[in-house]
Amino acid sequence: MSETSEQGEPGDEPEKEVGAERASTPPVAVLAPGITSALARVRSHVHRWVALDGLLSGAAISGAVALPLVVASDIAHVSPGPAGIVALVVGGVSAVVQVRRRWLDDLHAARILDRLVDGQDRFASAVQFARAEDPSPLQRLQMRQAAGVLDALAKPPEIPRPLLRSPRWLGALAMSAAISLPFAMAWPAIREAVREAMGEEEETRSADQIAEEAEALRRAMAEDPERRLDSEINRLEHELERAREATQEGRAEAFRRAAEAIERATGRQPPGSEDDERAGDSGDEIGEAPTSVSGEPPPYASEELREQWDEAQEALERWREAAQDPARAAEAAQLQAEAQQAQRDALDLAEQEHGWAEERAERGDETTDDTQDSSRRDAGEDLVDAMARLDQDLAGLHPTDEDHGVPGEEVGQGLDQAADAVRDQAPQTASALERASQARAQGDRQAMDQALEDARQSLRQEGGRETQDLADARQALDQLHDDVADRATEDAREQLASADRAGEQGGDQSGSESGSEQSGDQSGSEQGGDQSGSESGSESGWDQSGSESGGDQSGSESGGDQSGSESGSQSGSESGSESGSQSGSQSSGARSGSRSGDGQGEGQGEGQGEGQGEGEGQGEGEGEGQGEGQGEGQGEGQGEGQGQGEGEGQGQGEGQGQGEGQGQGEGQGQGEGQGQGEGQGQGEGNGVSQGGGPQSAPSEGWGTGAAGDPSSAARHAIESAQAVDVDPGTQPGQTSQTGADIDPMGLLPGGGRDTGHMGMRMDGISGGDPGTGTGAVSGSGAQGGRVTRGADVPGSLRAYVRRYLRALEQQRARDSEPSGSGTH
Amino acid sequence: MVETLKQQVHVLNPFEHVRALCQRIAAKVGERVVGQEETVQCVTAGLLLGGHVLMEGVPGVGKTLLARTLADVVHLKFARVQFTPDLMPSDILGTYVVQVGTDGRPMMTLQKGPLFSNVVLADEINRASPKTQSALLEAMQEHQVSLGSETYELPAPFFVVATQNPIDNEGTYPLPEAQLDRFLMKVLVRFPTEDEMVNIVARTSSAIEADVGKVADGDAIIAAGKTIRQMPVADHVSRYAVRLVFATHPDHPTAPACNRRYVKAGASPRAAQSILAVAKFFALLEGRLNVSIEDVHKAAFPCLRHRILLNFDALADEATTDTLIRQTLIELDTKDKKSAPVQLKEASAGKKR
Repeated sequence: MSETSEQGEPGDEPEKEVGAERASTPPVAVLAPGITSALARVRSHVHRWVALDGLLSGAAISGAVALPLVVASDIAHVSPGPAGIVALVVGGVSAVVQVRRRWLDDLHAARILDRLVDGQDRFASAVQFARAEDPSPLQRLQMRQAAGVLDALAKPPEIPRPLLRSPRWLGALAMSAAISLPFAMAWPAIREAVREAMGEEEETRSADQIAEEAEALRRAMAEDPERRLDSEINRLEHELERAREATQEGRAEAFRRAAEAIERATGRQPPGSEDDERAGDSGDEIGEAPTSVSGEPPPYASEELREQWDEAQEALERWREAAQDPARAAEAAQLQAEAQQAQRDALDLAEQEHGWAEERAERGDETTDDTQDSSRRDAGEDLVDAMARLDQDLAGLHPTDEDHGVPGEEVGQGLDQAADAVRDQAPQTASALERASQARAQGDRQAMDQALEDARQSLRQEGGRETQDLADARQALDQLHDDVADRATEDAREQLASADRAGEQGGDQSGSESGSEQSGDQSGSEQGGDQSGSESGSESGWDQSGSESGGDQSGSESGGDQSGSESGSQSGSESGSESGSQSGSQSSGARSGSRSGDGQGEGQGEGQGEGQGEGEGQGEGEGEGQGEGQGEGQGEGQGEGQGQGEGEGQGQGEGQGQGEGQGQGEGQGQGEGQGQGEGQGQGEGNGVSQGGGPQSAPSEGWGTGAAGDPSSAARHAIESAQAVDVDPGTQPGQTSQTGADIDPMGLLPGGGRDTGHMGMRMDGISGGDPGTGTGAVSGSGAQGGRVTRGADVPGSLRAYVRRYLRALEQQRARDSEPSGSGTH
Repeated sequence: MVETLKQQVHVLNPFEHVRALCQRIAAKVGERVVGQEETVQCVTAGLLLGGHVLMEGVPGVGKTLLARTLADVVHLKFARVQFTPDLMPSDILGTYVVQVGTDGRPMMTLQKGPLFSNVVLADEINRASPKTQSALLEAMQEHQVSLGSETYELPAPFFVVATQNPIDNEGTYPLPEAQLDRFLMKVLVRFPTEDEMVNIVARTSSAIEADVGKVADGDAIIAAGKTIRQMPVADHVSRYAVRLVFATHPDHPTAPACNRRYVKAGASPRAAQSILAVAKFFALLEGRLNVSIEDVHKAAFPCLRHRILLNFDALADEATTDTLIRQTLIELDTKDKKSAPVQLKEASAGKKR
């Protein structure tokens, strides 16, 4: 009870005392200075970290946003500047928002302080009580109690740094980079794959862009001579071809529109329907090949065949007239021979075109199915067809026997429309057409005819003229090719010089041993058989001219005890030329061998090749394929090649060579090469092959390369004491065809590996076991493909071929001299 | 300076006085009841705050002794009612009986029941019929009893301590939610530890029963309750208590997954009041003039465990209200931590809550 009394009236006592405190306590600071300073310390510490974290986060966000945007801009070919600005804005805004959201107020700072000193929400409560306008005495009391707790601390609490959020944004940046950069690198391949999957044509860049990139590549090569530019050059070549084709297509389309306008005006039936009908009927009318030139030329006869047909008929007529005149008996015999020859030529050509006609008839469905390939293949032909159609339509406007007057108004409109259609592609033709239209309006028939004649002439000039842009791009690429060739030649020369030094040192060690192996069996000569033929064709457009003459195929091979050489030539009389040489030499001490081949096949196309190698690891190769091209491909060779031959000859060789070559081959020939070789080399080549033989398709390929390591070949040759594989030329001629797939293992375009089918072998150097081989190079004009009108030859190849031919002639001149023969 | 300190001492007096009172009550109770400190604290809080306490425990752990001892310590009128199935409302409320008046004439007079006491021990309350249980509703909430046309005020303070056995459920009537909500806390009386058991045995084996002195009377209890309720609470603590109550509702957006799955009905607003009141009591026991989140954590279990109604899934999965409350508190803390503008590095963040 006493305790109860002690408590008295506990319910009243607090109220009294609280009231007394309210009255007696002077106004206190809202928050004790200790709490305020502690909170400020917490805030300043945290804010420093927050600001730093915000900056890092902003930078990381900017990067994470910028990377995909820049990649997208690059893909879209737009400037990356806006993307960078957007990224900066996003990063800046994100940083500001993040810092603002993490900026501490007093309450959160107090809660942090509570946590640091285990304040049991004393400071947070004090801050909240201090926010009241008129804190109650109990609240003031609580604030003082909180200040007391803080004052009782021995030392101020250590403030840890806040958890940073920038690492997660750095992770986002890393992820963005991990996605964007590989995507950017893989984009060309992806785009290519998608295009291939969707069957779309690749984008055609303008000739200006190609020329600019070629110049950039030249500069890059000048800065870094060791840089490989094969893929870039190949790509530019293809793009230039596509640009050329696009130009052809655009021009052909313009000419077709002009022709249609004139045909509509004149009421003439478009030739397309007639062609189709004729093409449809042609399959039935092909029949057998003609056996005489007595009648009309066959419906599938080309202009050349028709000319030859007419010439043969005229020769027959002359002979017939001479034969009827006894006084001209002697002349009749000569005319008879000429007539027979002319008839034979005409029939040969007719037989060839008969085969083509049959092939076209058989391939009719296939070409319609494969529209893409046919469109590419026929771009030049389409242009020629369009030109011929327009020319024919213009010729049809000339006065006839029945009509000498001026044509009607609709013809004038047609001429105007035709002029508009061709104005961009052929301005002179358009101008002439306008003059014709004006002359027609003036009723001047003669002036109109003259203008039409001018238009036809301008059409022939402008239709096939290469545009200045394409010419510039071509020139830029030619210069690039020249630079690459110069560089490769220089490299090869240096390596040859170093290999010579190595050969001199090792010569005495194995000379006698290998000399016996390289006996006379490996020397010989071969003269091509009567594999001759004549073929005529026309080639138009894009400055593609050349000559090829069917002729002999000869190959010579000679070798002494320890040396041998082989050469062959093949030439044709058709447009384009084809030549190839293959040379190889190997020397190991007293033994040396050389092999060279030079062939000119009767066929069509143009090519060159040269191979040279030395057993001691001095090699230089330059090659060119020949044959009728099939397929399309490109290659750049570097690596190790191994080939096997078939036939009587056997040979094994191993060597290394360096090659550089450019070539273009087209046509069909026969060649034979046997041997077994294993080589390693790097080649540079450029070749285009296009042919029209059975089951053939154009092929294109370019490749550049640098010299390989000749030392290993020399070492291997010395160790195995094997001689050069010299082909005695005993094998019969076989057809050489360029395969569809260009061998990327150092073979130059047009060259293949399969003996008898893939054309000339480029294994010019062999160092294996001595054996026999054949170096026969033959050709068959009868089987040669015809140069189509759409065929084109890059200027660089022609330039290279010309340089090579000059070098070859100089070499021959040196070889013909007494001191000039020897190892090649 | 001296004057200032004196003023501070004066200001601190009410809370220190109440704190001392609570310590004295706990000490006196502890002289008779071995262990059960948390239970004693909760019952004391219920007594001071004017709430009622439902104690649940197996038989023999000292529930009745605790209630009786508390009544003895505070010098209040104590009544004990053993609830049985045949207990009628009139048995606890009282009834009118016919008596002879001073004038010799018979008259109806009220015979008050045991409810008209300061501390009422409703022993095994779940054994009474719902009718009898419901007779307590008005008394517990309104502190009054209506008999016939008359309403009678109950003495202040009025404190009901009910007990129930969690394992012997046969023949029992679970308390309705309305009545459960009127209990400030539900306290689980744990089984004593070995040392506590030894101490219990030692005390009860002697013939002398400990005589506890009285440390307070009814007025002191009422005044202490007012003082406790005056304690200011910071806004973030109040909001935390409210969010805790909301989180117990399965259909509330902030409810954690466990409550969505196992809770049939969440706590009532009265739960938030109870939590803050009890949290104030706990803060005062620690000598603080502010309520902390930790106090709310501590008060959440006794104040919420009888206010959360579990569904059949919870019974099938043996989920208890305590586990749900614990998980809810964890979820709330996690959300608070995430929503904080700055999170300190844990390794050197000092003491963690």
